[in-house]
Amino acid sequence: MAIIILALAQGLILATVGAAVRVQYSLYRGFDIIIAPLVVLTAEAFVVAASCFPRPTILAFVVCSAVAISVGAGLSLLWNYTVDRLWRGQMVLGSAILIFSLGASTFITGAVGFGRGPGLRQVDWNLPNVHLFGIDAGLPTAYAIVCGLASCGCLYIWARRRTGFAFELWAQNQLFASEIGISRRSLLPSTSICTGILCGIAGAYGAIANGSTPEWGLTVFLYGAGAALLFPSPLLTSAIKGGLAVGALLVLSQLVFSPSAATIVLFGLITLVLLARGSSRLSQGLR
Amino acid sequence: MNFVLTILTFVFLYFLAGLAGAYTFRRLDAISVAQAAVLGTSAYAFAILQMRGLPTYLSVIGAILTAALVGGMAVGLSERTIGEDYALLTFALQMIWSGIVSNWTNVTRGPLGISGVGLQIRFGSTAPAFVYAAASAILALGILWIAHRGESSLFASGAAVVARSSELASTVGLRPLATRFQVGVASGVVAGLAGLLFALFVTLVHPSLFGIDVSVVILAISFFGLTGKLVKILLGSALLILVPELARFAGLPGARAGYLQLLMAGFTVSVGAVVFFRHDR
Repeated sequence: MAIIILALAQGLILATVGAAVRVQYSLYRGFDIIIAPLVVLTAEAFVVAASCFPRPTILAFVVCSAVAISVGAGLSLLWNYTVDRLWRGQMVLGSAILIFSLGASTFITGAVGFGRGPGLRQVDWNLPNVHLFGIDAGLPTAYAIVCGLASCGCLYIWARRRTGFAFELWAQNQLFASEIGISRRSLLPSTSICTGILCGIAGAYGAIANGSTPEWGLTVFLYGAGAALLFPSPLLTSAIKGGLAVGALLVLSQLVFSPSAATIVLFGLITLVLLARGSSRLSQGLR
Repeated sequence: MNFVLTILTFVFLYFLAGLAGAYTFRRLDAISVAQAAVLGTSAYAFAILQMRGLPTYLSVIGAILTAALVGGMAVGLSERTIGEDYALLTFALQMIWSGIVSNWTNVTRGPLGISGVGLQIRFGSTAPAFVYAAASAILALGILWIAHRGESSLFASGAAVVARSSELASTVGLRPLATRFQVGVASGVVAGLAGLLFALFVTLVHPSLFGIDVSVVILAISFFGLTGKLVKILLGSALLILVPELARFAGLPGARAGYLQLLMAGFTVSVGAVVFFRHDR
C-alpha cells in the first residue's frame, strides 16, 4: 500500500509537470524548457515565503503555495508574451522555442547562482507524518496527492470549458483555429495561468520534499516531457495519464535498481519514446 | 605567464568543441545538446585506458575512436528524429551520460572522478603549460583550415541534400544514414581531441566537468559559427572563457565565476536563437 501511495504521489506531481510541458508544447509546437526554471523559481518562492512561518500550519501551506503559484503564473505570463512578441507571425516554433528556452533557462540558472551562490534551498520546518489511507505517509507525499489531484481536476474542468476547447482546437489544427478567430495571443492569459499553477504546485512539492536545485528543475522537465509524449493523443489530459505511468515506473525502478539508476532508466525510456515516435521533415509541423 | 597560457589553452579547446557542434549544424541542420558527453567520453576513455596500464599512444587512439563512435551514433540518430525532437533527444542523452559516469563507480570512480591523468607524460625542459597552449592552438587552427576547405566539398553538398530530405537523398543515390554517421564521426573526432587535451591539461576527469552546463556553453560558442565564417567561433570561445576567468582573476569566488559563465552562455544562446530563428528558415 505504501508503494502505491508513493507511486501515486510521484505520478501526480509528474502529471502536473507533464501537463505544463504539454500546454506549452501545444501553444508553440515545440518543447519549452522554461518549465525547468519556473519549477525551480516557484520552489524558491515557496522557501522564501515559508521563512515567515515558524511552524508548518495549514495556513502556512496555503499562503506559501499561493505565493509559489502567483510567482509561477506571473513569470509564465511574462515569458509567453515575450515569446509571442518575438515570433508573432510564426505558428510552429519547433527548434526556436527549445533553443531560446534552453538559453533563457541557463541564463536564469546563472543569474540565480550568481546572485545567491550555490547550494540547496529547502524549508526549515520539521514536517510531521500524516495518516493517509491507513499508513503513515510523509507530509510531502500527502501534499503531492491533495494538490496534484486538485490541479489535475482543475485542468480536466478547464479543458472542458470554452477556453479549454479553443486551446485543444489550437493544439490540433492551428490553421483551422485561426480561421475561426482563435489566435495564440487570445489563448496566452489562460494558458499562462494554467502553466503557472501547474509549475507552482510542482515547485512547492519540490521545496518541501527535496529542496530546489537547477539540476532538479531539468530532471523534472525531462520527466514531464516523457509524461507528455508517452501516450500520443491530441487531448491535453493524456499528459496526466503519462505522468501517472512515469511516476509508477520511477518508483518501481527505484525499488528494483537504485534512485540514481532509476533516473537513467527513465531518461532511457524518454529517449526510446522519442526514437519510436520519430519525425521527418515532411511530417514536422503536422504533428 | 602561466595564467595567460592556461586561458589560451582553454580558449582553443572550447573553440574545437564549438567547431564540432557548429559542423554538425552546418552539414545536417542538427543542433546537439550533448557535445559535452562526446568530449567527456574521450577524456574518460583515455583516463580509464591509462588506469588499466595501456601505453599512452594506444590510450590516445582508443579515446579518439570511442569519441568518434559515440559522435557518429549520436548524429546518426538524427536520421530518425529531427529539429526540436533531435535537440531534446540529445538533451536526454547528455543527462543519461552524466548519470552513467556518476554511478558506474567501479569504472569511472563516480562523482570523485579520476585524477592524475597524463601526469606520466614528460616534455623535457619545456613547461607543460606552454606545450598544451601551443598544441591546442596548432590543432585548432589546423582543424579550422580543414573545415574551411571542406565547406565547398562534394561531401558537404551531399550532406546538404541529406539535411534537406533523406527521401530525396536516397533517390539521387546518397546513403542518408551513412552520411549522417560520417558527419558525426568527423564531429566526434574533433570533440574527442578537445576532450583528450582537456583531460591531459587539467589532469583530472569528473562528471561535473562534462555536464549539461558545459554542453550549453559549447552550444553558445558554436552559435557564433552557425552561419558565415567559422573563425567567428573563436570570438565566442574567447568571450565565454575570458570574461569569467578575468572575473575570477579579479577576486570573484570560483563558483560565482562559473555562474557568470552560465549567465553569459544562456544570454548568448537566447540572443542567437532570436537572431537565427527569427524568421522561417
